[in-house]
Amino acid sequence: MPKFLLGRRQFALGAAATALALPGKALLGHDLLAQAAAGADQPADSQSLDKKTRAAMAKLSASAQAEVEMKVASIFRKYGDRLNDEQKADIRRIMAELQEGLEKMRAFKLENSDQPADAFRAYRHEAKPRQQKPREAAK
Amino acid sequence: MLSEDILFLSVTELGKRIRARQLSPVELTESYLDRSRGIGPKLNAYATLTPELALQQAHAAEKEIAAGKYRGPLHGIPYAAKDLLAVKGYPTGWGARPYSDQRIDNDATVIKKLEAAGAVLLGKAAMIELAGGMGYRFASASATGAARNPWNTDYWTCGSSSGSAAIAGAGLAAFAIGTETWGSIICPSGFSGLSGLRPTYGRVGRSGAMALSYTMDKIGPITRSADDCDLVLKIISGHDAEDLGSLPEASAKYPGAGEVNGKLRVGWLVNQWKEIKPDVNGPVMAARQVLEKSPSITLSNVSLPEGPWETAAGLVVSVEGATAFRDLIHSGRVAELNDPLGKIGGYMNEEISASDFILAQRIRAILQVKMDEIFNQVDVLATASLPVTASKIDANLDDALTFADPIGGIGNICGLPAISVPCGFGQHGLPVGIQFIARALDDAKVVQAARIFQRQTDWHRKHPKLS
Repeated sequence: MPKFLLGRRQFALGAAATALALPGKALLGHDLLAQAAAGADQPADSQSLDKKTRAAMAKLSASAQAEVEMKVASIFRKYGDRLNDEQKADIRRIMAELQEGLEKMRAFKLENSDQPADAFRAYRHEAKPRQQKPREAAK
Repeated sequence: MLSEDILFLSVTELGKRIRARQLSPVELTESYLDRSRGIGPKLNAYATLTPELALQQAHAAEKEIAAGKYRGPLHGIPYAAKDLLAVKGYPTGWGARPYSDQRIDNDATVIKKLEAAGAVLLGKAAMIELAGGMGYRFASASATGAARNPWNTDYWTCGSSSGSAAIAGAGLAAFAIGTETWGSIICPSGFSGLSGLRPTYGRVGRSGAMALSYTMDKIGPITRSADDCDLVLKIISGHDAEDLGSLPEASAKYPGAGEVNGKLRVGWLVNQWKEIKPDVNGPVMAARQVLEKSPSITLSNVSLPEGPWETAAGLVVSVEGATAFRDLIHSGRVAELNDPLGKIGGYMNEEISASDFILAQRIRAILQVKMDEIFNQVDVLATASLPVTASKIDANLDDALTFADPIGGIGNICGLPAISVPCGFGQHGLPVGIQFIARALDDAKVVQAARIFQRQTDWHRKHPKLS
């Protein structure tokens, strides 16, 4: 995973996507990702991307793999008609590669009392002090 | 037209000459405009030039100064602003084709402050599309093309303040304004041999600036010396009532960096870069020796805490960027962006869960405390700005910039100030930089450290030969 300028160039760090079942397909293991590799007419770039995807997925637990599958499926469900095969393969690779970092972040030990950095604060409009009228000031 | 030697002078020196009426703001503006028209297109430095406004402001400055109404050290000084800062009457394109015709009927707070100080706006600096908000893989991720490095035009300036660095580095303006969410001031300054300051989060008001990450975006100067950063930050800092992230005036207003009383404690980071290229390591180690020998500095080794800081920082930017550009993502107009990653990044960022986002924010709060504790031991941290010199103009950045950058993630997710200053040259005549990072609100200390370094070296006085 390219890390430098991560926040600048490569953002996808998704997790816990809504479960999506494609008709007749169990989205576990490498099923969905394997679909991308199935076509023999894929361009070389897609095959290279798929190889990287498989390598990234192999590092993940079964539940993490399933999560990647679900997130990818969610993207394709919403935006698939806008994406070509190469873009889809790119998305699969990136989502798979970034899952490992996400798992490590989730393993970070936190206590129940550890609050988020952007804590909510109650709001109350503070009216500006009323200006004295000249006559009042003269009293 | 004025000579290169004058156009590359520091803001401080230009200001002295203008005040003494040895230098005309109009002549200075015309010279920078002429140079910008000639060299700017070769570097893809500008999104838009604003010559009418610049000459109007320059004439006004000249008239006021002649009448004895000197506003301060930026009066009559020409500068450029990154094209994500709104300027009334001109396009504000955010570096991205879907917004190339966008006009915003208000000046950004920073533009207003600089105008009030009498500075002269020469133009809007080119930038990476949406400041990299949808991700990018190539330097060409900009509506105006890849910004070329003034030191070697086969190489990039780095992003996302790519045009700001090209302009300041090539002497097309006295200084430029950039922004950083993660790396966008420090990297262009490091790659381009400039002094660039990323202020503490909340010091510089952002109203009128494109939002990428509401809790991580910062605006800062890219200049040719640490003293110039100090000078510009004094002008642009302060509370902004329209920016929810803005600090109260007493904290936001930057008073400037005085002289160091006693010694500045510098912590040399020993676990920032896994590997530094030899042509970078030489100048950086020489810079370390300069610091070590300085009577104003005590140097010790410091380690960053281990943790998932970069992932947390990336996740915060991703989620905030996805919501900031929600309409663009949903409309499908991300397809009009130049970069292949930019076309798909927003779709992936939308998949991040609320639970993970809040988790990152909880980790962020813990990290803030850990970093603050480090700054009980030292005043500033120091390390190479980058472990490599500038990447080739057509490089795939996924291959060229593959290294981890913990202090970049930590510094930005914690909103810490940092400065990058030049410390030598690596291969292909490309600059090498050193950065200093300080505790929140200790912007003056990074300036002090950089100033000490620049008083003992002359890397910041070198400039590229361009025609």
